[in-house]
Amino acid sequence: MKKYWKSLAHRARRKGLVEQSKREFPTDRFDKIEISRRDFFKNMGASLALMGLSGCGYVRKPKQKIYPYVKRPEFMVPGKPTYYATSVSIGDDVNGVLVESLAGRPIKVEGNPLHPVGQGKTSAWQQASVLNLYDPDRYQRVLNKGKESSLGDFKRWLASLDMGADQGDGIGMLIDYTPSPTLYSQLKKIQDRFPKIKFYRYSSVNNDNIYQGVSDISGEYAFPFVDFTRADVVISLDSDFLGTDTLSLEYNRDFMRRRRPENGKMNRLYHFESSYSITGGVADHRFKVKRSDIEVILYEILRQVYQKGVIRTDGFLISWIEEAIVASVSYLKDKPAYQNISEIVDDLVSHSAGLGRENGGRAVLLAGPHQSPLVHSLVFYINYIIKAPVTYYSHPFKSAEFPFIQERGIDSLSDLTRDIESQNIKTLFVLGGDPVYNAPVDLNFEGLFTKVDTVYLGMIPDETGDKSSWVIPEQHYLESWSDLVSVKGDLSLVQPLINPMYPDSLSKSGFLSLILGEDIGERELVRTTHSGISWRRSLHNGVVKGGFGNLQRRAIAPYSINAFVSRNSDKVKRAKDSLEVSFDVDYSVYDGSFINNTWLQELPDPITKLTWDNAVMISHALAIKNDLKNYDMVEVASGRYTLRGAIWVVPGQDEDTITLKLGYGHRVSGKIGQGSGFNASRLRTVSGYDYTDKTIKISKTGENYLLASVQDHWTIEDKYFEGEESSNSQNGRPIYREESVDNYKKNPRFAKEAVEVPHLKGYHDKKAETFTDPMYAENMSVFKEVEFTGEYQWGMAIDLSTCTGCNACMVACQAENNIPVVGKEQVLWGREMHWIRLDRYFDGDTENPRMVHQPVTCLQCEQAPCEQVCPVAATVHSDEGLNDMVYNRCVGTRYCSNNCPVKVRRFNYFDYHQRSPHAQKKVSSHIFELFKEPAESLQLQFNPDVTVRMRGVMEKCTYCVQRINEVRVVSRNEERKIRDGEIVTACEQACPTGSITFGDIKNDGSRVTKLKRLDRDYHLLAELNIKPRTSYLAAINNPNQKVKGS
Amino acid sequence: MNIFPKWLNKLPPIVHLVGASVTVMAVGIVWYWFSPKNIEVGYSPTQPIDFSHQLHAGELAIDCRYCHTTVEKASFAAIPSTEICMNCHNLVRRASGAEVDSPEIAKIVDSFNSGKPIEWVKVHMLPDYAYFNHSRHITAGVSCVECHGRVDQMKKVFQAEPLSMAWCLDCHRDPAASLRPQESITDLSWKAGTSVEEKKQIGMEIMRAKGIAPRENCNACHR
Repeated sequence: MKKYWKSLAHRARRKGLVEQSKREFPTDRFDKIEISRRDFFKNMGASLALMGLSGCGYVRKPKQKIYPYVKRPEFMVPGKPTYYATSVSIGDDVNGVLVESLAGRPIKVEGNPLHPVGQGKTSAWQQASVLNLYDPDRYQRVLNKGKESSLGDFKRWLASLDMGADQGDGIGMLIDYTPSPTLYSQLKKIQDRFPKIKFYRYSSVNNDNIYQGVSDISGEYAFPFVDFTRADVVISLDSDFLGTDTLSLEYNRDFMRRRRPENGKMNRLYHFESSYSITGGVADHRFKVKRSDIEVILYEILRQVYQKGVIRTDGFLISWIEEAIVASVSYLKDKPAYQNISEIVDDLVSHSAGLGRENGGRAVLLAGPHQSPLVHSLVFYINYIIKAPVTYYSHPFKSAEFPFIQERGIDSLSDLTRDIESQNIKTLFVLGGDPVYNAPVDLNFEGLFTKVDTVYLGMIPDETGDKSSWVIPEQHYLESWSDLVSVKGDLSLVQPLINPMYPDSLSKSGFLSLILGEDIGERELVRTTHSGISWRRSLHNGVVKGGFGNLQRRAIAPYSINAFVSRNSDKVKRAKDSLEVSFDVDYSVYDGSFINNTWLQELPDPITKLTWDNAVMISHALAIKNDLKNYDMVEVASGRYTLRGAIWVVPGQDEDTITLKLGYGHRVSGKIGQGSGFNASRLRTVSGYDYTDKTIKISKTGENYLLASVQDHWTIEDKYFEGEESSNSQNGRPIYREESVDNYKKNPRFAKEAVEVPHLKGYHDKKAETFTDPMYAENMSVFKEVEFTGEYQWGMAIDLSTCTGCNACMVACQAENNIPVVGKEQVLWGREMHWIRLDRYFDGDTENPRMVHQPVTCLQCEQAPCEQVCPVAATVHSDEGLNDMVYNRCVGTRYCSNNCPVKVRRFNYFDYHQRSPHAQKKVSSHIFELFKEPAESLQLQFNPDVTVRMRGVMEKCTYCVQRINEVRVVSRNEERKIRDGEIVTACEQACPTGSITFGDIKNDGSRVTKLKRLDRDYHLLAELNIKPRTSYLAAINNPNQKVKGS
Repeated sequence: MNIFPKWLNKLPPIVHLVGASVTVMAVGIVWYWFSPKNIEVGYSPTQPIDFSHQLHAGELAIDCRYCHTTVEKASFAAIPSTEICMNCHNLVRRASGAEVDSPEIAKIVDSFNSGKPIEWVKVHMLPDYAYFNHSRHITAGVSCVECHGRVDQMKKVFQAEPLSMAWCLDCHRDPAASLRPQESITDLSWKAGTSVEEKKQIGMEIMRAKGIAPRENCNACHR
């Protein structure tokens, strides 16, 4: 029996939590306020008087003006959005997007179906990137030593530098890697013009180890791309390929194609990692192991691949491996990760191809970017001998002209610090990246940075800008021309959708043009770089046909493995019993570049469900050992460097690993980013870059720090608290349903049978006579059955088999529906407003649980409990099955939320748009002008097709009714029916795995009807007779029965 | 000793009576005169240019869609761009028979040359939470005149209908009387025969032909 729990407190059935789940409004304190009858009437009287006052609002609405175009641009229809193709890069990852533009304002990012990477899908970061454009805290003016200056002043300073005089001697340029061909052609020009200029490169999140590893063993500076459609067995070594890794969108799509049992044979994923990632949640077998020990696990895998006879045994290699393993085995031998290698390798070998066939293998290994180059070399080697479905793509800019590209960023930055120390560099240009914040602490970069003249091109206030002599505001990608190449060589164009918000801002290319003294527009620059292409078509499609040359490298072979091993013999790792800190990319703020983005800040982390902060993540075992608990401030010391942070206990964390997410703890940032979280870079050193190599000490400071986690919010009441045991899954109430593929084949109807009330087993047959208790018979409801007469009947199916919990739907929903952000304090009160909630459950013990995700949003119940309790009919049914929320009728009793069994209704306690730190005093003249409104720039982002709700109003998912209505109008005007797939909700549009399907359930041929007909389709809380329109497809996984203890 | 005269005993009932009638009257006044029918209808703000629909749409009989170009395609009918005015007014610069160029037309030329939009004042204002779509109504056969009145007779545009929710719903519940053939959609003087019955008959036929069933759900107009 599975016992799902949301948090350690939930698992321990902690009393406070039990009480909370039983309260009318779990997070309110109103019923605890002691108030006398007299005071109550006083307050009521005052409220009534105020209500009367508000009646004075019945004056004629203020004059509104209409500003028509003087010359309306062609194709511009007021009120109709236009979509432009452009592309966005986050680190090495490039994706094509279609950006919705209304009256010249880009308001929503959607995937570009023509782009090979995303194929119409987007990540949470890409969805949220539009908000950065309107961020009121952006650098708006050129700054000189912190004072406002102008571009003209900067140009004069640049001229006085007279770079040409000594060929650029003493000048350095530090670049945050952006895969733009135009940028590199400009760098080439700069190099030709000023031959003595020095280039450096640094990005705190990068793929340097991967490229380096492949290069070390094959001589080819290339990136491995795994074809998951052809992989039956996948072994992932610390690779979050469904989450933060490069190409994750493509991987999500390919991998999940093999996770639906209907599509034929399912794949199997073995995953090794130190702290839970969303890939770990999807894995069939997930093993926790220290990040540094993964290397030893790989040695053992390699040894067994040899032993099992895929290739002739090589004595030299084996002895080298054994030397490493023998030293480690006493520490590792009790760990399931180590014990199960034999079974895993059996699986791997049985799916590998025989000798002589190219890429015929159906098993693959991949390693994450935080593993050392040696790991990547060996992974390359194993993939080579098992003929794994991996293709290699050369680095797009590896030409000999830019040696700094082939150097690891961390080495390049070390070179820079040496050059500054030896005074070889006197002036430094920094193109993005915030190196003062995220450089390894032992480089003392901040101290050196102030010794030279620095020019920083940056977007949001940060540490680097704070310390720079000159700050030039950087343009957002929606304001500039550029071009981007994905690691697979897909070339796409970046075109602006809006004039630069701030006239002094420059794009990276514009900045380089300034240095070159060229007065050529960026558009022309991009055009000249790609003179051979069909410009208009490429712009329209967003992608350039033919790509960026052919980067694919067929059949690259490793060097002699013996030679490789003897070259690297000193790098052998030995596992040891000591604490280690590992650094991870954050699911919300990436490397820190999204720190001032409110949507992402409030986005709950998929694992910890933390908002607004990162934390010192430790295992339950380590917490007990060191007498630590959540919210304890601790000091983590690694060698002589220390960091103070708050503890968060994470189930499934390796007991010897402390995990820190990068990107938080900015000393200087905008109003949102300032003071959130703890800066992991303070422990990051050059040698301990992905995980520390020094002795770690963790000590309590005695202080507390409140972290806002939403994991216990909006809990669907279960019987776990009662301590009741039940034969069916999920604590007596089957909310999340899953099964192994073998059992699913034996009993395809397991999901339908796993109901709380046994006599409801026939519920899904939709036949009243199968019900044994007339109480539950379909037509015996105590409430009047609603008749649905509409032309269409909307419904949704969510596939739990493929949902990773990546949060992309949550941000897409927020962007589409003008959902406010409430701030950390209000999250602590449980008042977050996200219409979609991603429930994360653990199953098992605290040390090694499995993790599953379930997105829950309004189920659009046909027999909606919320409707029955609303005193003012503010929530009513449409004839097409939508549970409409009428904001203007709502008086805020919140009865509906109380009666909602899945807890998806959100109450706007305050006008959160007004309360944001980004709010400003209202500009318009009206009697309510004393109130605030969102910052002017942020107002431009609002979707005019969705009402912006006031306080005191309940709100919830509407199935994107604005999109339904837009399509309906078009179809009615054309006098035809709405086609299946024509309406795409915002969440469905974003979902990288295609787990969400929306459509007309009245139409027998629609995609959603087909899914709902599957055996594994089930209704949440069916026993309440709510008849939800959103149903779930039970998760099916594919575990290896021989593997134990994972 | 009597401080208060005896008739004061009647004061409480009088106060109550007067109070009650004042309350009833106040409610009645607000109910009736503060309704959109009374405070919205007739609203006629002064526009920056003294533009006469009577002249353009009435006497000159320019089709509504010549200026309001997107009315059949989008939710907004679109206020014409200055460029559209200039299609004619680059030649027509003075009123017929006038000696000098019209100062009103000069404003259009100014806007065109300077690139500054003309700041029209909105007459028909729906609240932001009501989503009206012009194209759907026009394509269904609801003429402009049903909501905007005889604009072709207005020297200065005023609001002719209350545009309240009840008023919208009246038509959504019984649309037949407001429908007409597509070819007369902008003919504001169009009359279907002589009687209301005849008009309804035509409307019923259009409803059948186009499958018109106006939605009365909240989400039809509110999102």
